[in-house]
Amino acid sequence: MKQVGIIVLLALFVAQWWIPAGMIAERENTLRKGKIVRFKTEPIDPIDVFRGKYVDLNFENTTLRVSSGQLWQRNEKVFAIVREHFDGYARIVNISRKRPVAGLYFETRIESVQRLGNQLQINLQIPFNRYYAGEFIAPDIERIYAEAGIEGWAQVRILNGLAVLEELYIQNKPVPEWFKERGSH
Amino acid sequence: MRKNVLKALPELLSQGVIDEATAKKIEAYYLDTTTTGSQKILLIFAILGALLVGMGIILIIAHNWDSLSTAARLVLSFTPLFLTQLLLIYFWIKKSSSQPLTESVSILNFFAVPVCLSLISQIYHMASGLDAFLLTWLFLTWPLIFFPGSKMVRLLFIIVATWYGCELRYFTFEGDIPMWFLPLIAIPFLHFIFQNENKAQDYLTAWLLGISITIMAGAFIKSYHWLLFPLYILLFSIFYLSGQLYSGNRKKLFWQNPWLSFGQLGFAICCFLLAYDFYWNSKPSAFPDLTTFVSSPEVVQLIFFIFLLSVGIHLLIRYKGWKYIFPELSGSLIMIILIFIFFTLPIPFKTGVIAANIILFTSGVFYLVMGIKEKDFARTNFGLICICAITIARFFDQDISFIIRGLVFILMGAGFFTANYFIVKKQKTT
Repeated sequence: MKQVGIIVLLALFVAQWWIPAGMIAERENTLRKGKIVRFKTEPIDPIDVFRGKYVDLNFENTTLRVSSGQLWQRNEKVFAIVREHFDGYARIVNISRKRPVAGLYFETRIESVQRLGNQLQINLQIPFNRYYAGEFIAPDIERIYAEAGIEGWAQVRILNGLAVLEELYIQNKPVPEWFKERGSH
Repeated sequence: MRKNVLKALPELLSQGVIDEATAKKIEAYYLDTTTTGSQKILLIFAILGALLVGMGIILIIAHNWDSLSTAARLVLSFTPLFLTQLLLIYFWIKKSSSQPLTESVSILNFFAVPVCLSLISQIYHMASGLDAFLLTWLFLTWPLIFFPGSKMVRLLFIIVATWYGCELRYFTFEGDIPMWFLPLIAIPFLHFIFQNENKAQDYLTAWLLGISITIMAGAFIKSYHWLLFPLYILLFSIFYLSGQLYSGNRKKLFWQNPWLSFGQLGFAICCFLLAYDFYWNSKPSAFPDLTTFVSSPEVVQLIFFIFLLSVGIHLLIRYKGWKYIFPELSGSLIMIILIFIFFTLPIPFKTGVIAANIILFTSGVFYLVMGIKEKDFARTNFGLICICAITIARFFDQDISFIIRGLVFILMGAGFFTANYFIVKKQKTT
């Protein structure tokens, strides 16, 4: 009994390491090898009980219009196909139930589906819409964007269907650098 | 008291009142009880300490130490996990008998998981919602609830699981609870019932579990809100039956028989609410389409509860006899049947209101009489509370003179004194 107990306990402890380590490995791999894309964004700052303050990124062009011939359901798992535009920013151009063989894409779910005439308006959940920042920086990021109407963008790495937010930029500078230069925080 | 007895021992020995063996026994008894007493206090403080430290670490992590390097933050994220795991393995191998130590370290391990997940989320800006976070946490700490000497983790697990359920079904209305999650909760629940050790922590776990199930039982009601009361009355009847089946000793204190007490209390609250007309007034103008109605999650849940209740009634009759079903359970059954008749046939809404008033009042009288008969303070006072609650509620509904209201309140107060006085007197005579 004691031996079974210790095996179960060890298995649990391995799982307590394995799952977080898996999360880290996947993201590190994407950050190292993934293709860099930029998404235009606007931030607002909410709070998470465990993970602290973060900036909720509100991306442009995450709403798609597709023909109503195909049925899509809320919360359905899909692949969002991303293409880079001539202005340097990426956009979601289509969705697919099947994993694309090539190109830029990431796995996500449908947030909402709305019928507009003979078209469907699909809103997607964005798996990189949180930028966790220091307790005192997060509210300032939102304030700076709101006050000056400064343009911002998020640098995201995409690899094999996984998209990881690498950095948030204000006036072409990473957020920590931007704050450092201004001597605040 | 203890000091006095121990001081008196040499004298009692010299006078030959007790022999040496008895003196040693008395000494051992008092020394033993003081150790248990101080150990209990130590256990409570160890648990409180671990809870505070665990939550404190979570808050410190929530500050987001983004000035530290990724590597440093990763090392930090796994450190509490590593230390608590090492200690738990050590305790297991050494068969540590110190409950304060094992309890506090398992609580810290329970909190080390969200600390690790939070830091990883911050480093990689993971966008998963709070529900996914809580689910991963539950998944990675689930086996801990079976670990001997980690009873507090059971309570914490129930709290976090309820939070997860509320997050999904009440706060965001977003997702469905994954099917594998239900057995994940049910297995420890069954394990706990069959291993009931009749200790304070077990009662506490049962109470908390009861509260958790009560909160979550309404989570699947989305379209047919009128099914809320039948579902809850069924649930409280199932609680009542479980209490009768597993620890049906009537002499137990109110808090020592959680399922029975929770069932009775829940049903009384349902009746009290049904005694107002808001629920009966919400009757939809037409009965819903039968096919959609039958396949709705509410009806599936209703059928499941009816099945559990039938099994419970069957077991109770088989092992204890008919007398435990009536009249305590008959009130719930009448109420459920009445609700269904009311929502299917054209009956004036006052029927339901009057019925609920009568049922609660009758239950109150029943508990009062039984309580006095069995010299049970809890039942007597519960009966009196039921009667008073319904009387007071109706009093504020009606336009009755202050003098009459005052007199009735005085009469009710006198009722409490008299009933309790009679029980004390009865207890003294026997």
